[in-house]
Amino acid sequence: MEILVGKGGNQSLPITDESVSKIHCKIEILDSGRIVVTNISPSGTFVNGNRIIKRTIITPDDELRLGTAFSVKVSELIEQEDFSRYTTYQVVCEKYVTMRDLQIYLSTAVQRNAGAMPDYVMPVFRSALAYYKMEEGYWREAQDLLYESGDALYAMQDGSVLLQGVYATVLMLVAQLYQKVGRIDVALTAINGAKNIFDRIDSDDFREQQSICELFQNDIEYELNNK
Amino acid sequence: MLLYKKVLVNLKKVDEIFEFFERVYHIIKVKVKSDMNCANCNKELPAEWGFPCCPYCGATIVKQSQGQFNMGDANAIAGDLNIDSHNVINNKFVHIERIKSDGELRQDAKNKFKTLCETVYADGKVDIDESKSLESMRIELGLSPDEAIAIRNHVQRLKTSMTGNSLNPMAKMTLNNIVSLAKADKIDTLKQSFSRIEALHQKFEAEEVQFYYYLIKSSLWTDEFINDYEHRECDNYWQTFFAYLAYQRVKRSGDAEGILAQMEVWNDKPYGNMMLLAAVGCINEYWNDIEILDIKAQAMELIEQGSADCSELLERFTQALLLLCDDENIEDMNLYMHDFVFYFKYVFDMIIERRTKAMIYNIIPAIPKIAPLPFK
Repeated sequence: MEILVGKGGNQSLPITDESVSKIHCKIEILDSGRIVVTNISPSGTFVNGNRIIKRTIITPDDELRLGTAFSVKVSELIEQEDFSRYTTYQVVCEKYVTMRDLQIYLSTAVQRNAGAMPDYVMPVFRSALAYYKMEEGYWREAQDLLYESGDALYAMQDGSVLLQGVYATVLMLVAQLYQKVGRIDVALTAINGAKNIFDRIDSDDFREQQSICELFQNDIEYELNNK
Repeated sequence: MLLYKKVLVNLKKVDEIFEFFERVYHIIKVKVKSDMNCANCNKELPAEWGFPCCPYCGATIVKQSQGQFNMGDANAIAGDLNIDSHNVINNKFVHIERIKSDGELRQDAKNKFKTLCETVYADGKVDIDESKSLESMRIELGLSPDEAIAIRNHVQRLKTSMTGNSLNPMAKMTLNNIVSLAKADKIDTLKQSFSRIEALHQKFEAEEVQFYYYLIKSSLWTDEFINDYEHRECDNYWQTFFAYLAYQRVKRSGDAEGILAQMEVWNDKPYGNMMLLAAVGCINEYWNDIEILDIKAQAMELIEQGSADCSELLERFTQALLLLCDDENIEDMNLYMHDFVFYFKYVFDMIIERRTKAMIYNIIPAIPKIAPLPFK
């Protein structure tokens, strides 16, 4: 197994430090179980303080320093990412706390992990990016991203609770966008669709979204009635 | 030259056949002659003597029937040779028996073991000595422990069923309790209580016990049920019935269709039951590809005809099938989910899954779209 470490790497821990390259070093886990690191960045990779110049055997307890300031334990980098947990934009936003972090990750790592992640994960990442765009007032970009991810998830529907829940969450974001741009009537259509799905699937995995959706629905109805 | 030789060989064979029949005729003649003596003076009667009295002493002739020959069933008789369907016997008692196949020998061994079991279970219980003798017999006959247990269970069930066709109040209560658990979707408790209905199944031949036992087993432990069905010692109507559904659930439609053909032998059971099974196959197929409308019409017809002549136990089964055919309102299914929870979640779960997939776009709205928004 090969892990590319950096701001745009596919390691389990997100790296945002400016001194770290997009792809800084490469960690390989060999069939024998040994772990080997290779430096890729001109700013250098250090194992327990020693700069490495060739492929070097390391252990999970070793400390890696990438560039000048960022240090991390090897074990934190080689943990396997569980992509299936990215079922809502909120989960993505918890890990990538700024739009920039998410954009860097999307620009590089997601492509490399495409085979390892369930089909619905990429649209969820895009919906998370749409959320950030919406927060910063980039309406058109948010709209495009939501249409793209929403249509992709709609086409994927196979009757499973998971895919319906994921789709309903995107519908909620669509409603949020329409509310922000003053299209309350369409926002109500979207939020009602999301609410119906949550109520029908009645899943514990989406219980929190179901509650948020209910509050949001009341909010939109109130706004529509007092318009 | 070659042809000549062949003709010679054939002629030789023909000669041999003639010689054989001559010999047979002679034996019959001698036998008939020797049998046709006067019982009084013991003088030989003339050939084909048709009068009732002896021409020598005048005594009445007692006719001896040809029953002296042991004719057997559908035999060829050749003098004192008696050839029946199993062996050849002459006066010297020479038995020439067909060599039995391994399967027949195994069946013989099972029959012997079954006979011993019947003796042992005659008093309804097994003591230590009997148990030991059963075990030694099993080893002697080369039966596996599983085979022996299956035969013992079968004999025991037959023994108890002689007096257990109608359920006693306790058994009825147990059965009702199990059915209530299934209806209430208390599956964990139902699984824990399954041994109770298994015990009833061993003891009672009553139809409702067999029905619910196989319904629950085929739904909750489908693979085990199929394995049991494929290694069954004897046929059971409801086991065969639910084997059809089990095969459908594990996507072995070919095996399922084979069962429908086998079920024809139970001509004492309502024919509508089979039609309902066939309807399940059609519905399953329909939800796999909803473009084939003919199949849906066929399913509806089968349900209609089947429900007119089916077992009372299949009433809810039929209602569930009707709901599964409905492709208008998927929401209605949720209204009925509570009433048919066991059927929908565990018996027809595969159909429900296919139906949901087929109807998903009726229940999920597409993203409502508006004109492109300004950039910022």
